Amino acid sequence: MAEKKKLIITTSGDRPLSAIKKDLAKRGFAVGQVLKEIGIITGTSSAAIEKLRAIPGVDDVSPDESVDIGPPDAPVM
Amino acid sequence: MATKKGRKRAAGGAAASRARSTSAGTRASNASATRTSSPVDEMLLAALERGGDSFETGRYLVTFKEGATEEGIQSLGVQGMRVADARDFTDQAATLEDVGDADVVAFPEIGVALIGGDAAQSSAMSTFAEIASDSPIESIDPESFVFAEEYLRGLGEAAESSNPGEYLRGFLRAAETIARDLGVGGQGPPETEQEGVQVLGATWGLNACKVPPSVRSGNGIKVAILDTGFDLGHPDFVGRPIVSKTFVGQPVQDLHGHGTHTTGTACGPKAPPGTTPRYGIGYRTSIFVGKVLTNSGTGTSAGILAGMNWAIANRCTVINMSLGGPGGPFPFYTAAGQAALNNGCLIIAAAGNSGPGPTIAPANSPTIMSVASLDPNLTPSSFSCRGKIEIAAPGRDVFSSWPRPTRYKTISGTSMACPHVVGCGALWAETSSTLRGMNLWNKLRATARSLPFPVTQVGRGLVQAP
Repeated sequence: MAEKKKLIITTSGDRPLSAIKKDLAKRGFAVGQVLKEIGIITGTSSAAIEKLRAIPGVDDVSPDESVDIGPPDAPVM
Repeated sequence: MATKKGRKRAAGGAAASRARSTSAGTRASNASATRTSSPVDEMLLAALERGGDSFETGRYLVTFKEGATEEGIQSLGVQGMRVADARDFTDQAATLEDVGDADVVAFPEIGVALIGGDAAQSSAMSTFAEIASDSPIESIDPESFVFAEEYLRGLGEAAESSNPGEYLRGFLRAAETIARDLGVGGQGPPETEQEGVQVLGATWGLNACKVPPSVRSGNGIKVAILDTGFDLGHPDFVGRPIVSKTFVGQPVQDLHGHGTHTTGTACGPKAPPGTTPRYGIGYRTSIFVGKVLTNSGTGTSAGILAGMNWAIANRCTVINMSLGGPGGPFPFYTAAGQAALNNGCLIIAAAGNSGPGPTIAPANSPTIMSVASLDPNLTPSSFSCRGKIEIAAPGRDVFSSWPRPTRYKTISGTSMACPHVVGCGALWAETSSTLRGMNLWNKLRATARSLPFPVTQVGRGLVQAP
């Protein structure tokens, strides 16, 4: 069993988010948030990224990255 | 608790035991700062060095028994202390700076004497350990710092529940800043050059962007700041409309500082109190605080996207993103930027501080405006990333708000440049309801002041207010 990854699904706007959400769930994608304004669905999955990317209406599947601006006393922020 | 104020008969009480323990010899350097005439800031420094958990000054207040004041004052003199009497000063207005090297200042009208730390720590103090029943002395209590009410109110729970040492440090920093502004206490150079450059009026950044002469305030314009949150009780923002939401599972209250600083530049007041220079641009904007970074300054793309979604759903005209990471451009940020433009919003992001490396994400997305940093001499900051740059703004030595008790801080980064563009964007948006989304993007670039540097470093140049 592959490790579960946090993923970000960017949609093309060609299909309703609800339909894409269903297709994602069928492939074992655990939906976190559906961000309607920006057409993005976040969640976790152990499925291969290619499988999710093949879903109609999905533009991109990317891993969720961490962001770090540094501590409050960093020399430059 | 922090303030051990309970009056104690000196025998075995806190005052006496403290005096004994601190007279062991290790406190000699501190003791000199607790003469009766020590400036308050010296005593604060000494208190910080002691590292204790109290608000005590290191001096002691002796209360005389009723009717025994004269006798009490004399008894202190008999013990070899040099006594200054308030009655020897005009209107009995004995200021502690006036008493020179006296060990004791007596205030006979109220039956109290103030004893300096040196004298208290000398062997004479041990005679107070046992107050005889026939002694003229009622009690000996450690003196405590007293702070202006406004300041205490600003401190709120922090002063009561957390570390007073931090509180004192914050107070001291504020005192130092004020002292420098007033041009007093000039003993040697300031500790850090950065914090000594503020003058009355406005920050260098606001002046460079031509903000002070602008008649615009950002009135009615919604500005979103996606960052570490905000100090919701900062006194400079009392009465301002603030909508807030967290996306990281922590309260919006900013315990980092970064978000309070960027919010200050974009949305801070027109006239901060006292000698504080103007540091904020859109002083009548509506502030939308989205906490997408934790108090340690970390976040995830998913949380940041949730914040962007929220800001767009609220139709915030300008959205500040002083954050980012390597890689990209990422399709998700590009999509979010496009959604913003489609809905009359404009996302403005910091180019990154890994210069001369390339612009970071999300600023490297084509639908998101990328801001480079300038130094006060209007040259590109050494740390500012290069490549995809739309516009430049002041990012070196930027003075702005910081969570209480510090209140203000001067820091550097493209994170500080970004809210200058956001603030100016809010002012431009106020001038016309057609200046939204891509139109606002174009206006900001078209009105920027040209600079003699490559577009990969400064874009179209220095942002200007309308």
